[in-house]
Amino acid sequence: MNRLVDLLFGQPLPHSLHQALLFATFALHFVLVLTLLGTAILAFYYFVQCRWSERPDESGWDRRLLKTFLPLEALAVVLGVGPLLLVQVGHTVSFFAAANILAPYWALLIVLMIVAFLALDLLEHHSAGRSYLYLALGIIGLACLLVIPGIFVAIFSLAENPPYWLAAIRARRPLVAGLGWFWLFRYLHVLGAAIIFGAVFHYLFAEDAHSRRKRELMYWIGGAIVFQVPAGLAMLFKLPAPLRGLSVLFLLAGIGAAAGFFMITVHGLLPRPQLLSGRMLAIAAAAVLLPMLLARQAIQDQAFFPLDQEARQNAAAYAQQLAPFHQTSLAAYRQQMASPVRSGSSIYATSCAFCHGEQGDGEGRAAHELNIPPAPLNQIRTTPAYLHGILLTGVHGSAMPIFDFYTPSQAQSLTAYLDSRFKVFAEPEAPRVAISVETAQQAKAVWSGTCATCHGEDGAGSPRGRKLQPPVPDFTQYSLTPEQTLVAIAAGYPGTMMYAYGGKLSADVEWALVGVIRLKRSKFVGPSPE
Amino acid sequence: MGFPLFDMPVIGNPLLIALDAVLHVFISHGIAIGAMSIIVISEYLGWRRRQPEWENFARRLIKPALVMAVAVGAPTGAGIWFITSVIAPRAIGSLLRVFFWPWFVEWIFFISEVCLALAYYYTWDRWGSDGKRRHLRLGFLLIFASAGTAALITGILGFMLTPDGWPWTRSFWNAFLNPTYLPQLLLRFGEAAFLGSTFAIFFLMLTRQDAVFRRRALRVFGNTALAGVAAAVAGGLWYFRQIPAAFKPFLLTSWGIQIFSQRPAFFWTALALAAASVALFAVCAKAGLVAAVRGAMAVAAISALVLVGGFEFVRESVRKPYLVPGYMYSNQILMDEVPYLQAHGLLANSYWYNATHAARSVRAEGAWLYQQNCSRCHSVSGFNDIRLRVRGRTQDGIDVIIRDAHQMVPFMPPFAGSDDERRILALFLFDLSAGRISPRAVRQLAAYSPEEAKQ
Repeated sequence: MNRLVDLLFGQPLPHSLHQALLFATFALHFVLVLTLLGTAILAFYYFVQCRWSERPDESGWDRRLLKTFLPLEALAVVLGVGPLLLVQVGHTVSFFAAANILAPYWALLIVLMIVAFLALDLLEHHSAGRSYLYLALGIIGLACLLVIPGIFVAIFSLAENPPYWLAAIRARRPLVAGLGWFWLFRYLHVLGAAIIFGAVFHYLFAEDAHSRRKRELMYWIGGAIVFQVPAGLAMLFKLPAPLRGLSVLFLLAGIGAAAGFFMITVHGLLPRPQLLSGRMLAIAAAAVLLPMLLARQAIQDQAFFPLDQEARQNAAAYAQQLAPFHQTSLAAYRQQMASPVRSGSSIYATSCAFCHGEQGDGEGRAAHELNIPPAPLNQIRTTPAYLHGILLTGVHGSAMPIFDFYTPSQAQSLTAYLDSRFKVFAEPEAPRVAISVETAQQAKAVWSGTCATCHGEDGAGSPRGRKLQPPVPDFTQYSLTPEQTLVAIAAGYPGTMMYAYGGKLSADVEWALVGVIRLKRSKFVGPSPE
Repeated sequence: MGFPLFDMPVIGNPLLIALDAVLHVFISHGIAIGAMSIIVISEYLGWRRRQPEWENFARRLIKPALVMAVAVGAPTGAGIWFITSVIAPRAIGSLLRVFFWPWFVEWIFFISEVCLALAYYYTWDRWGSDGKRRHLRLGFLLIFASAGTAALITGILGFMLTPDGWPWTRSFWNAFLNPTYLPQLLLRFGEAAFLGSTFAIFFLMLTRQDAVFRRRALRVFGNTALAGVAAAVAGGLWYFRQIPAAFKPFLLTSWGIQIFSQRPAFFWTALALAAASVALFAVCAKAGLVAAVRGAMAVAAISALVLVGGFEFVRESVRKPYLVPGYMYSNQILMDEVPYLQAHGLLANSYWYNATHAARSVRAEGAWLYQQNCSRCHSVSGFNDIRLRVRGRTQDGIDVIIRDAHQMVPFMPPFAGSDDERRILALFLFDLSAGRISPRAVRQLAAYSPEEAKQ
């Protein structure tokens, strides 16, 4: 297979190893996530109960729960990186498609995590007694934390259900598009599992001094199991048809395990007030978790594999189409790396010549595609400041782009090059035609009567002329060679408001006008030799 | 083409990733590596010199450091990945494959780092003075793990500027041990040292401390901060020397574009001033000038931000027009792909476009062409606004600009699409720059057509 395909859709590790790693790393991450969520829910509940009841509980039970939040949060996040890596590499199409469709939510996760973690970490340091500040911290932290699994459930539900992708793109609230009930029950199912795992975790690590609290945790576990059965069944019921199959079996197995777990809990609570052994609880919790993980794996295998397969085949075919271009593009890259843009001449060659022409005559290869022809640089006589201004802003209403990405020194080396090749900063030449005083007077009248409407009496451009697209040039700083000026007067400037005056004026007056225009740059040129 | 792409409203894509990444660098370098090392070193000094104040100080600093590293550092780190998954899925997808095993090993290092940090924190009181030697060993192991995490991820970052022989050989070691690897590593460890020391100094100044101990500690942290700044500057200059000549002319202009192009001296002066003021801050600390240190804290914090952000800016900016030189352009289009798409058209090869757009609409096609070709670097209404680049140009002018942009502007990738598609994009950009299409409409047009989508 072509190496290109290896990169885009190839597998950097064998399929079976990938599946095994994904299952194992996700299981680890998921246990931590459930424990973290459960801990946060229980800790907030007991924080409120211990601080806000009639008789505050000073045994430190709520602090004890909150204290475990930091290590759990650290481990949950760090253990999530591996499965994320494996999912992206193994199930590229499904994952990236869903993440992109739900991108705003996906990006929001970062903020939610930071706020939730900081708020709940700070809550651990709450003061004794009632404090609205800490209550608010707890509410904000818990609320943000609980949104996170909701977003993950939405993204994976969408990833597993390609038929809903288009609907989600078109929906106003794509988070639950078409999968609303399934999403809800799956999310509730995660929360139920979180309470079980949080409670089991703290049950295992609580000291005997808190035996009353340990009994309460048994009620939490039992209650959550009771909650899980209908939530699981509802999820099963709403599971999109293509995904049923092996996963149904696992979900039913999970419900069976939950029933057993519940019996154990009830057994532990009812006959005599005695506590359960930690080992038994841990085994029971694992027995409930395993079917949950297997069901997820079954659903995702079923959903992701066909698409992965297809994507790899498409990529292979695409790579074959691209193969003929590989060597040429590498050669072009090598050449580009070897010939950096350094000076005026190389800037001109890459950035200017394709319009203005290798010879500066305005006849570059792109010139014929432009309605307003590129200026013939070898006919321009202007000032450094004016030219730099054009480079910085381009010319509005024409194709001349904005070249402000060149630094002042780069621009300066370019304009120096333009001057050395095309004499752009040279003094404007006088027309080599003898003009009588009378004709000159006539030309001045034409200027004032006609040209000045747009070009302004002083040649800098009238307000109306400057509003044109493109605006008139400033003749006090910019002029063309006499021959080119005459061409503009006689033939106009294509694509602009400068129309052709040829035939309306006598040849003498036209030449005299060239002289009039040249004198607008009187700051720079001596009086015309009349 | 790959995937439906996300466009961050208002601020644009580049700024989104920049904000997250700079925050992450601050915390991961400054706290996870820097401050944690300072803490271990302080504990060691306390044990070695039999000065309990050192340990006391370290014991107090570790909790806030741990919380910041875990609650802010880790989510923003994962966040870089989250964001790139949606703004550059093809790019991150490729990098994950080239670097799968280093990424995986980095993850193992990352887990070890977190476990060691937690173990180090929770065993501190439990092991007490009898287990001090053991506890310190744990601490030094933590420093090793966090440095290892950074050393692995830096190889991947460096690859994106100087892939060296990789485009030809596709060899992993070519990619990983690229010419900017070691300079960048030196720079990042230097940053870790000065940021960590600066945080430690801030903590010394903002909490109640014994006056004698404060001076003594300031002297030590002043030294480490100074060494860090020196290493970061040396690493930065070395890095700069390693930048390929073809990229250097547009070091500052190809990403932030015109903020700095007309004032290149401003950027370098700001960076030099920032380095100087962080160094001066360190010298004040070293000399035990408590009042001066207290007064200069805000300046030092801003300077550190400028220094760290400035480097990341150059790193991001300089490699344009490539995302991975010799392989992929900044808009995620492969070098090999461009001639193919120019011949066969981009839209014909866009699965998502065709799946989501039923009726033919020139404007929607334009929006999609814009999104695929331009929107990874440009935004509409935010950072590097595309409208400002073409506003006022004629439609035929824009067409020529698009066709020759990669020549005319050496840091722009070539247009990937057919001649007709280029004209459609020119019309779209012309309308967009004239204000006839709103930023919101661009996202909507690219996403789907209002009529029934094809099934």
